[in-house]
Amino acid sequence: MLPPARIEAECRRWGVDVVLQDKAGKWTRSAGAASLIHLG
Amino acid sequence: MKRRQCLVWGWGLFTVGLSNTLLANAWAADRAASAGKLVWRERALLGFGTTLWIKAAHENTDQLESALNAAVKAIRHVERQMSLFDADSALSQLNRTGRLAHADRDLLSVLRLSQQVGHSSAGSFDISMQPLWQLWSRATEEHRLPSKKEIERAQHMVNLRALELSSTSVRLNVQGAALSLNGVAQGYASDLARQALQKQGIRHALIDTGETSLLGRAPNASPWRLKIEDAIANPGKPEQVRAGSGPILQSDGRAMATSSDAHTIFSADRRHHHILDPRTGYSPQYWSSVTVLAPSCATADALTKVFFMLPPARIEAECRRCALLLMH
Repeated sequence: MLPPARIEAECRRWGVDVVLQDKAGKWTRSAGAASLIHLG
Repeated sequence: MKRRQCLVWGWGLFTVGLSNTLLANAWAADRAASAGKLVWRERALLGFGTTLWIKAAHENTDQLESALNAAVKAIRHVERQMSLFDADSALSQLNRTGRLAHADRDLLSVLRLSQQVGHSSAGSFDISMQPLWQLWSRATEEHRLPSKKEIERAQHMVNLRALELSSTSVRLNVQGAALSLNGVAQGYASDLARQALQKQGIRHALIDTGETSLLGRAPNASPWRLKIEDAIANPGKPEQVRAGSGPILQSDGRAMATSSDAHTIFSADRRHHHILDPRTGYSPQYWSSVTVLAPSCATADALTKVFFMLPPARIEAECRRCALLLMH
């Protein structure tokens, strides 16, 4: 699944990728991290 | 201070999810590595109030030991300059006296990077927030939360413009101002250790200073894989993180840094924790864990705090507008 647009914009701005976990425990990642992450 | 390790590493532990391509690559690399007879060595050391690890490989053990010594020396150098756990560090002296006439080159580099990230993030990363941290820390020792007035008073001393840098000197021009590089120094130490290893010909290594830099491949010749702590389901010691749930992140050569609300908490419900928004004086309530992948570990380290401040309400709105879904 695609990550939120805002995260993508921030990642592009800083030239990084991210993996985030929200307070409910849901994981989100930027597009560049998609091929690197395995959720188990 | 408790060990803050949100990323744990291993090999042979995290084998799930490997594609056929990765397995094929690992097999080819394994053959190449065995031909060169790589020897692995590791060092554990105490630094920045925690345990730091370096693991590296080389065919020549003398060269490997020499490289590990150089990496440890690099970390010790950063600690002497930037650690608040060391009362005699250059940073501790700066906070006491408000001035360093002849500042170290690496300290100046980290201060400049911190200024840049601070200004570019509109203050969501701010190394001048030490008075806020001290307030929260003191209040926690007294088994209470700081009052709103106390927070407002501390916030008056949080001002990145108080930091004046020249090519050789540092000055804090606001009474009571104090800096903390705890959000970036461990990443920088990891960068310097990585460079020290590379200079000595090391091609495969993991440097874990609390933030992680990587070179080449793991001892089993597959890409380095790190498990991110599940800050909700199983926060805890590295062995608990290894055994528990949490995504596995495969290295593509970039540094990785993680910040989490699961450690150094100021209230039992984890509503108040060590990551503070310099603009409000309180912990942001958006994320439990943020991992950043960046070419430099210092940058990754600093940016975990910037992403921690991104409000999910706005992100959710963006999601709905773009018909995107959060990954679960």
